[in-house]
Amino acid sequence: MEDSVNLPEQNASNASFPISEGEMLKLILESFPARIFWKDRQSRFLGGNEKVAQDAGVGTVTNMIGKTDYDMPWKKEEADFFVQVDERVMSSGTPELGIVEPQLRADGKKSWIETNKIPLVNKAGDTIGILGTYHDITERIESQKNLEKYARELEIKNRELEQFAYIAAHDLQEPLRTTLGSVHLLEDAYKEQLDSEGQLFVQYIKDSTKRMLEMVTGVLEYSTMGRDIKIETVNSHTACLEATEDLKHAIEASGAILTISDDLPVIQASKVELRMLFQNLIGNALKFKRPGVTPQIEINHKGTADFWCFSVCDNGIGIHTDYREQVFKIFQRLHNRSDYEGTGMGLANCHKIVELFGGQIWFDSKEGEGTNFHFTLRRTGNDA
Amino acid sequence: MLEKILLVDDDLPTNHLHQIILRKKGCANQVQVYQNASEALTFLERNEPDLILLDINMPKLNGWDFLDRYVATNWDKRGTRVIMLTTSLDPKDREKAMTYGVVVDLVNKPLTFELLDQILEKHFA
Repeated sequence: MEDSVNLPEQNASNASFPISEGEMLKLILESFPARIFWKDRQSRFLGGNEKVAQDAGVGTVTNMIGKTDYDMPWKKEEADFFVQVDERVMSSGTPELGIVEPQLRADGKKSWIETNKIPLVNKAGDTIGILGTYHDITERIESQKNLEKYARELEIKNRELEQFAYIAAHDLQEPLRTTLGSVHLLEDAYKEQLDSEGQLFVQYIKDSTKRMLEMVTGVLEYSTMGRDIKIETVNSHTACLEATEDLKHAIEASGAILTISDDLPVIQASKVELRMLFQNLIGNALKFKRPGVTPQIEINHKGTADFWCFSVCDNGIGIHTDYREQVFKIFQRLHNRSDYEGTGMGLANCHKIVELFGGQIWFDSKEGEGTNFHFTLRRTGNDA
Repeated sequence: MLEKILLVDDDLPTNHLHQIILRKKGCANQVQVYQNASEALTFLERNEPDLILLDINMPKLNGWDFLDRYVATNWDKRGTRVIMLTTSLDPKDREKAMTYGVVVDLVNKPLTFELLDQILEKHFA
């Protein structure tokens, strides 16, 4: 501290800087972009800059001298806190920096300040008082509070939307099932009386109703996903193998060659969701194969310190990178239903799963050559 | 009576139902159907229908992409009129559709006999 202000007599004689040491210190105090004050051992103000006097509404610093925080406009509990901190800093001899605290000013403004308190120790080593500085951080605190408020509101809205999707989808199922059941009965009873066009219309009703039921079920699954996630130790290699079990028929029919790396790790995750991720991505690789080309699908893992990073690579038809965001939205399809079946929920589900686990999903692809899907899951402290 | 109508919709049953309705109504000599927009654009290189019934929401090239290319090729200078078909309830779609000079209307799918009557009366009477 003694070295930091280096303006003794030699500067007083400097013609280009004709100012005394006292005036210089005063100038520094008033120019300093923070409030500065100092108190004696009993927490009585001994001095400070004018900004503190303004906050306190006492006019000038002179009017502050000898007063305590209880003589200031701050609330009693604020004054209690200020004095407690003074006591602690003076008795421990350790500065306390970056204390965030409220302060009611003389003009009635409720502000937030960030305060530093440093013990003042004389040459004999005795603590004789305290030096304090503070600055106004009201704007920062308020924007932080606003952000927290928006985040809470957003979370509530999201939950409401999810709930809405669930209820709507759930209640839509019943009339759809009735329609489907009735049309089956209609077909059964009157098929002979319908001409070929009539039979086709019945078929359209059946197909459309079935499709709508699938979509509604898709929304139900999507909206409930993540409600009851059970985190456990999962061997991702086993999860991947189990996923391929469910795709056995498609694998056999296409003659696909699957290579699952032995490096797939044991992780902390939800087994059901991890299996669903693999099943959707491998399922897509099988579905979007190139005609006449044997599908080759590789599943690999390359981790970082913070994430597990899996990849599912195929030699299929590929995806134009223009669709890098679109493909992850619900009901989004890049092909006609007559070319490729499906509700357009698969990658939306994958996207939701990885987000639940603090990860990301993306792809790189060349049309006509294949697609590499990558997804990350955030590692937890308990991972093996 | 219209000479040629072009139907562009990715949904096969919808296309078929619309085709039947147009046929039963007897409002065109020829109805050409495409399930994807790029094939329909190829068809337009050699054909000038009187009316295009165009779905908005299609995979890959959607109705808007179709219109962008249609206008970029200056086909909007032809006499063809476009009516867009949609399941959307968003009024912004109508506003957007009308910014393309060639679009005369936007109607909700599916076409019914009644709706078709209204269209014919409004735009082709």
